Amino acid sequence: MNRDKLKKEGKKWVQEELITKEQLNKILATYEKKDQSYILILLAALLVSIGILIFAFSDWTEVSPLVRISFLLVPMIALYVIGHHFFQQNKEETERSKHSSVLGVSFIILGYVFFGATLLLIINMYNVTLHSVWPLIIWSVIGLFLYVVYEHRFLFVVGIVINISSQIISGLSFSSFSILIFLIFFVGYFHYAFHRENRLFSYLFAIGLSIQLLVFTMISSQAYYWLICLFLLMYVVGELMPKASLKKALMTISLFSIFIFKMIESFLLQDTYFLRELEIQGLFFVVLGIVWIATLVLKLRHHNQLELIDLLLFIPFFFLPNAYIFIIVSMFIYSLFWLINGFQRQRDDKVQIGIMTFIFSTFTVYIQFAWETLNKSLFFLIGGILLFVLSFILERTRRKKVNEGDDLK
Amino acid sequence: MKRILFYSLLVVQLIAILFLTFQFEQIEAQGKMIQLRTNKPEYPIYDFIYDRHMYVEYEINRIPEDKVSNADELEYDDRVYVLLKSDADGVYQVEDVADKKLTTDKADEIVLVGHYHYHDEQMNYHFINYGMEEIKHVNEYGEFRGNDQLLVTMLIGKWGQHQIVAIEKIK
Repeated sequence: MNRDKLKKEGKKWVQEELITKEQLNKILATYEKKDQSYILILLAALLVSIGILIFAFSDWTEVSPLVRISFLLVPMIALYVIGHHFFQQNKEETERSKHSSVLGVSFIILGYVFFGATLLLIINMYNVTLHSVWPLIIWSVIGLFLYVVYEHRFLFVVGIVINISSQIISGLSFSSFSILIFLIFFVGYFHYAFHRENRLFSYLFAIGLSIQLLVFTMISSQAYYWLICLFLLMYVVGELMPKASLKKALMTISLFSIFIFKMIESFLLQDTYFLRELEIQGLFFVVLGIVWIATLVLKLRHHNQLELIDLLLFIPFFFLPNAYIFIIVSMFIYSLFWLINGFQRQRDDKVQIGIMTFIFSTFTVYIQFAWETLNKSLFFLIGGILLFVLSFILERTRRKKVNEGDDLK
Repeated sequence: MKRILFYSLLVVQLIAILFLTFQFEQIEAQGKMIQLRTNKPEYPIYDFIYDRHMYVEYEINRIPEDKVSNADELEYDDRVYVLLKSDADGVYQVEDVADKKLTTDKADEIVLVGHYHYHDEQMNYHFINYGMEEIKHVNEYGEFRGNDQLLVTMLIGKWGQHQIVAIEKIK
């Protein structure tokens, strides 16, 4: 619980004589007030970084290239050295020492941004025509090594963001999937996400992997639906992952990704030109079938029968007539399942999944441009009535359980 | 240990920047001089100079169908290698296009790397982009309008860089 909230609640408990004032003070003492000053430093670093990048690309041709490069190199070296100096002061576990550490890392990040800006400025100044993202690969490698040296979470975040952005740029600007960027991501960042068991690292890695898979499918000239297979593979890898934080992150992000995929697919499959061009590949069904069955077996062996509903999202519908309706219905079934199940078992996390996916599903139907108003209205009306009936049944079950509990007393 | 790693990483970054700068600075000594003619714009849409930058379309952007042998296999943004040869006027024209690397040792030839864009079936050409269609600070080379046909002299470096040397109006 938040310290301020606990303090407020604690005063009530003292008034109600549930605890003494001394006990409240002792409890509050265990909740250290966090120093939030690092947020200001981070925001400052962010603003300066954006400033550097814009400055590097501003029109200053009157100045010779070598002078321009020096303008960026000198501050880069200074920032790195100052950052390293501050970071080295982080020897004790005091508040001041932590502050120095954050300040040091912020300067190092600024130095890193200056390095990237200098690289891009050189490319721009000498009119180098790029055919791949090689400057971004250099930038990405340096980002990973900086994390290896300092092992600070901010450097992990900055490094992985540069890596993922590089892959996106490679896909969008050069229509290519950079194997090198992927290797840096997979070998470097996976290692740390796996061994550090940090929630932030795990989720960033999972989001990054999902984006890398998306770029790979876009570029590899394969039909878009292969992404279902790749997201399912990501889900299975999560299922098999021995580390809890990475396991949860991979599974959650793969489900989130497939849900977004389904939202977009429901629109694509209403486009007649898209449907006409769509080529159905038998191999896809074979591969998906194998991975799908493997997941099913894994779930049963791990006694996760409830999570079998996740597999519903990985069923391809694109080959069916009016496929988008099947997709939307499957999204609603998924969300309603977790809503009902969450309420029944009083699991807030599952209820949250249900609510989130329900909102996404409803939004998908709401913005279906091809649907007539009457169809839309009917869809929501039926959906709403169903939910009323459902809530009535759930409430009745709950009351029955409460009464049975009272009888037992 | 951390200090050694830090300074090693800093030195690597400095070497990377200095190496690239040195290589790109060599263009005037090692670059190859070529002349390209631009197409006279057909539509006013090409007639623009924005913030001293000008977009031009070179003759070598539009490649006749017969010069592209494997056109069916090419897709948007595929990397292609274009062999150029100097004509009697000293202007470079397309000799061959391939999706595999082309090489040449001849003094009057050069290979440029471009990206395939589209096939115009009505005008019978394939459009290839080289990434040097935007001329920055065009005012430094003279006074031009967007619909002028130009003769552009430029240096091509071995690292894919180019440097405009002169621009003349073709009357």
